[in-house]
Amino acid sequence: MNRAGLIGFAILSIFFLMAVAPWIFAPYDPYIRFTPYAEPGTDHILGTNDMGHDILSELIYSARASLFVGFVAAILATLLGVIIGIIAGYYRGWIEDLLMGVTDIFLMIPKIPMIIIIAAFLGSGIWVLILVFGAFSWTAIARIARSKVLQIRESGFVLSARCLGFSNRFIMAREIAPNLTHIVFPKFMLLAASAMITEASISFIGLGDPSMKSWGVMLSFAFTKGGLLNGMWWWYIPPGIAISVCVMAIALIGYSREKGADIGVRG
Amino acid sequence: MSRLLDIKNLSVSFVSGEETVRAVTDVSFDLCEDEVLTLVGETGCGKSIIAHAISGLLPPEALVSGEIRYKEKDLQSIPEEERVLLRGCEIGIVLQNPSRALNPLYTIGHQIRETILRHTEKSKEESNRMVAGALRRMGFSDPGIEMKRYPFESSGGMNQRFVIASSTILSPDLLIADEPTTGLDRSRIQDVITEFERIMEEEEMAIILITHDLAVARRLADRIGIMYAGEVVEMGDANRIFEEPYHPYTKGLFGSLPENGCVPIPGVSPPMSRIVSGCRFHPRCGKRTAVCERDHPQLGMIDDRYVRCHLCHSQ
Amino acid sequence: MPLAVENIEKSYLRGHFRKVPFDVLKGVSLEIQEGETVGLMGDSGSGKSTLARILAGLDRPTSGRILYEGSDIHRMKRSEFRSYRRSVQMVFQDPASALNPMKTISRSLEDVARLAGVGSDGIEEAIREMLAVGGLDPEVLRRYPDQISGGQIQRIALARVLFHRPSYLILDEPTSALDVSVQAQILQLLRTIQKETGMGCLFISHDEAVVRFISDRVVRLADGEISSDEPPGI
Repeated sequence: MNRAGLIGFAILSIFFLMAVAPWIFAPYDPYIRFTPYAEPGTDHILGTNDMGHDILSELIYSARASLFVGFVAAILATLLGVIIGIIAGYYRGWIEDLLMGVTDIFLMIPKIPMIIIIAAFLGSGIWVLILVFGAFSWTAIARIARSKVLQIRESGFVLSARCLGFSNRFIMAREIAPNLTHIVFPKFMLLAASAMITEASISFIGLGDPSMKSWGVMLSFAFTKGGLLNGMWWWYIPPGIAISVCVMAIALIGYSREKGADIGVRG
Repeated sequence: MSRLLDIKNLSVSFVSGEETVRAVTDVSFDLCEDEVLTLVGETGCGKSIIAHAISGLLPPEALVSGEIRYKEKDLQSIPEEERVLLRGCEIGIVLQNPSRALNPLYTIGHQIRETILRHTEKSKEESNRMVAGALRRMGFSDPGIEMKRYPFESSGGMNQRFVIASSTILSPDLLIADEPTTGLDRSRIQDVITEFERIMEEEEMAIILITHDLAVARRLADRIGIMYAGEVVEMGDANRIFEEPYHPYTKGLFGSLPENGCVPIPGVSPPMSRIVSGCRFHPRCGKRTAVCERDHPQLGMIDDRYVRCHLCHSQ
Repeated sequence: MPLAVENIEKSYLRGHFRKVPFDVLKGVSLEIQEGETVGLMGDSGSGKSTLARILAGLDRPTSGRILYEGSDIHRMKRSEFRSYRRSVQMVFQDPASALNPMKTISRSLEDVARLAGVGSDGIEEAIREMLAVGGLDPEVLRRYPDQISGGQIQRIALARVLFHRPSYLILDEPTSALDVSVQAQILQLLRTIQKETGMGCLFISHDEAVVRFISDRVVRLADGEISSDEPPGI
């Protein structure tokens, strides 16, 4: 990993620590009520919001939901994409035509409007967001996985595994899949970043889960409860920065791996 | 014949992490105008590194010591611009794998012409005539058709001939060919050999040919250098060496050819990061003595050639 | 029992925009006896690798039959075909991709042993056996394929394949990417193994001298047809 990747990794580790054990960092429980609309001061470094919650504590506790949505949705999308890509590339023939046809259809569906519609019908909730994001984001991964599998399936070790009599499932799971990590991992990281931004956007327009604390929800309240109008920058800027820095860290890790993958295995 | 190239004590090493890979150690040879020198050896013996060092194509992290003098100029100390000018103009380079050397998006004619346009003041028409002439000399009766072809429309051997044509169209004084026949079928190798033979006959050009293919070396070389583990172990007149090799490695190499009974040399080539003390070949040599394990032999003259072996010198 | 192909034809659709059928094999018949090494020569594009893949059951011919123990392999029951798969093994050309780059050598060998039904307590013994067959140092076990030489990879590939005790072995240019001295080692190893096991071999190469050295019979393939079939001569 290069320096950019290491910086990204360091930043992301801090966010992960916040998500796992927010009480280490946060000065208060984010649900304790203090005087609302307090300006930044010695008691509350970033002031308090309309409910009187300490904004810094809220910010730190929000990392959990944001990261959870980002990574779980990305894992779901990646799993779906890799499985579909491998099956299509390995079996070829009509299976490939069918699966890639479905991929093309899914690729055309605009993701965020779809999530808005489904959230409006099913009600908002973290799992709706994750499932819908996962169900509509696997296409890019399926495509790159398939094209790599088309190449791998003709290489000596796969042909030889077929000759030796390994089952198709073994070959797909144990011979082919590990060789996709180089190309899938960067995409996975970018998907995680994208899912976090989507969560923030959806929450911001008010379709998120208002009982949950996430950066998007914070932004949404800062906006609707007058934080922006009254120039309370300590309310709306920190969650924005948190999202940006976290997404940047994830993207840095992703890009650094992508560069490594270009160089490939020593030959 | 005057001396075109003079290499003295050339060593190239690469440092990666804690390991130092000594790819080439203390190689010296000279090359006359109109001479074909072939460097032969197995994977990792450093032969391609020498070609790259002369052409100035080594990666920046390579540590080079020694002298490479081309027409009395030290190639290491001249500025990069002058080097670029030399390459293609006075020094032609042919690399392995023609499909990578040719751009699939341009026609053969275009790519050969580009060399002329880049290095000379000649007009497009004039260069086209030169390309046509070169192709005609290669034996194409209608060069117009060949010039309009794309690389994927010809076989690998044909493409390699086009690469050779484009590297030699400006009649360089020195041609460096790094494994020009590797990866080609036998009959395609024949095409490439034919091309080299034509150049040797018609042009005044010194050639350094790097190959692991002994049959190709035997067909083309005036002088041959056998390399093992980054060193030249035997160098001299090609016919003489093929008739009667002196160095145990050369003997072993020839003996492992299928037509000579496929007698393998025991063991494997040592990694270049851990240099064996004494003679570098001694762990695999059937005739080694205590001296071989202790002292590193020098390249010395025996009869008509240079040999790096204690045993040959003591006889 | 000989392994035979009868009147094999294979055509592909070729081209990016207009698909044009292209005949790779135009009616090839060939028989390999047990214990015999047949050398198959031909330029690239002559169809020799396609024939090898069809023999190994990796590709289906467009028409024609592959006969093993008298029955057509593509009409066999699943279990019979599985046993055919084991009896006819193949070694590939490119050492750089012959082994899974993500697995250690030890893992690659272990997978084969497990596939053959060796239990956890027999694995170590099985791996030791494979190393002995390939003439390999146990030191290679913990390495990954890109950390060892091409010759070692081909030895491992050979050892893996031989663990199934095949009756026939198809070798698709197994030494073309190797140095001559390493090629000599592999060819000698192959000869010894073949003498010990009495396998039938189909050895594909474009190198005249190699084929002459290893084969009892040399078959030449040109443009998808057999152009000659004769003893190797001098």
